[in-house]
Amino acid sequence: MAQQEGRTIGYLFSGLVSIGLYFVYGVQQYQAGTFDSATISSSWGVAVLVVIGVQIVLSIIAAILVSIIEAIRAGEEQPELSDERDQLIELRGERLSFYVFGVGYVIAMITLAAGVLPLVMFNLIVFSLLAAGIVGNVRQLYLYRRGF
Amino acid sequence: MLGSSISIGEGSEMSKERVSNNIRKLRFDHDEMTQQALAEKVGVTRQTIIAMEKGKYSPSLELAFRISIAFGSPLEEVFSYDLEDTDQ
Repeated sequence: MAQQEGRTIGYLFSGLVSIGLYFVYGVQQYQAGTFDSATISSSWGVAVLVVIGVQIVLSIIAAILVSIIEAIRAGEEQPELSDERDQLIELRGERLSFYVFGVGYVIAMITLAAGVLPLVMFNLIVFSLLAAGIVGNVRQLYLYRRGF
Repeated sequence: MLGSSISIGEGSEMSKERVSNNIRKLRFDHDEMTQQALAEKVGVTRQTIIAMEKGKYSPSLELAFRISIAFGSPLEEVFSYDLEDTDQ
């Protein structure tokens, strides 16, 4: 497994943990009965910031772990190398992420226009943002496994 | 067969472009040069060399030139391009 591929798996893992954390928070809020509020409380903003922070920290840890594992496996420290194929794979993944987020954003706006609670729109945007990252990483992983 | 090819030009209805290469053959002709050695010479990862040899990845013009220089062969000896008409 190449370093970039291992890193993509790490990012995918951190993305899944983040969306899981946010989902748990959402379920807790729903059970607490705050989900039908007409306004969005500041705790939702805090939750999003915490999830983003967790995702960044996990991504850094994953990148360090992959580098260590690769160094142990190869017997020596390998130079950090990202070539044109890696960059193209990254671009293709990001393009798909952009499409997923775009669709999620439009759906969120449709719900808002339809008079659904703003909290639903807010959660749709956050979920589409997190899901976009995961879908992009899955696409990258697929391209790495296939060759391109 | 040591050569490989890749289809590009997605969405093209009239023709199918094919870029093929002789990287694997040329590696063996150069004292059985390893994929890692070639990768280091041209500044890419070994996985990119593997993808090219399998015909999965078509390199940029710059990388194609670097590979041909690494083998000391003209570009057309390393890579070839065929335009197949599929409008039949």
